[in-house]
Amino acid sequence: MLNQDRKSWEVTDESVASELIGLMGINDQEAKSLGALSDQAKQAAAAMVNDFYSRLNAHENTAEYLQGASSERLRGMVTAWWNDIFSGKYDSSYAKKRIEIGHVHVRIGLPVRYPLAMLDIILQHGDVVAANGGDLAKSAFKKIIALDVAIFNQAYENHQLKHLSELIGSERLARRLLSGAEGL
Amino acid sequence: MSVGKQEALQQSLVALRTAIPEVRGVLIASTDGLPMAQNLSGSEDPNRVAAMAATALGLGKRIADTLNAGTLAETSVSGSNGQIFLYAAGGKGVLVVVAPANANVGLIHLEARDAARGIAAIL
Repeated sequence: MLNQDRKSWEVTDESVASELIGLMGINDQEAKSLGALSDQAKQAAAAMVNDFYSRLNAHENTAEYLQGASSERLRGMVTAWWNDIFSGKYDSSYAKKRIEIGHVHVRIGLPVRYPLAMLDIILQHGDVVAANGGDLAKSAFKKIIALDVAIFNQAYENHQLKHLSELIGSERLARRLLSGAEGL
Repeated sequence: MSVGKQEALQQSLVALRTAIPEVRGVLIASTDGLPMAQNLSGSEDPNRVAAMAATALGLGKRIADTLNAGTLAETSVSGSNGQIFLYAAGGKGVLVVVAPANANVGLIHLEARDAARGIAAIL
């Protein structure tokens, strides 16, 4: 039974980045190894974005979310996301951008499985870029993708938790309801 | 919660059931949904009842706020086989009273509202 607060519950919003970076042991050398590939990543961005939207448009359930949206704006957002992965800076500002993306996804009712599944495209193209930086960059790239997965999921959870907490007046109770404790 | 408070809460529930013998069960929950004292007759799970009561009270407060009804005092659920009354016990607790469908609602409110004030003072 969730009748006791956990320290992890105090880590919210963009502070999750510093916690997870510490947890995963992402060091300055790894960050620099990806930052050094920034220009190569920018050159590879257009091909990645083409594959990204080709896949989304080919699937009826994801294409639905693109109808009526500005293609140019969406492509720009994914390009910025991609470029940030190879920015070499993974701080609270980095986390904040990911959290905002997650919140937008929640607001439009996009199931979390889609952004997570689309990381497959990022991995395919990112592995090629990261390979140019040797083992350190390849390892760092995997860590940064894992960081993104964690932050995206946390953004979804936080959004739902915040909404339910406001509705019923207690975060602890909201956590218990979401956990399914006591068969609620 | 101290042993003294726990005993005081339990005594308030015993007194309430004594005052209204037809009541099926009573329970005090914290506003975050944990049972603090209970005197239930059936096989109900106190943890589940406490969480549901706190959820209903919290939602009731939100409805009262939204519709400018002021501070929520109580809410209820009526079914063909019974009635459940939920009373705010200050800002920290909720008193749950489970009664049969044909219970004397006036008497329940009279006794339970007074009990809720006492529970709020204890908490």
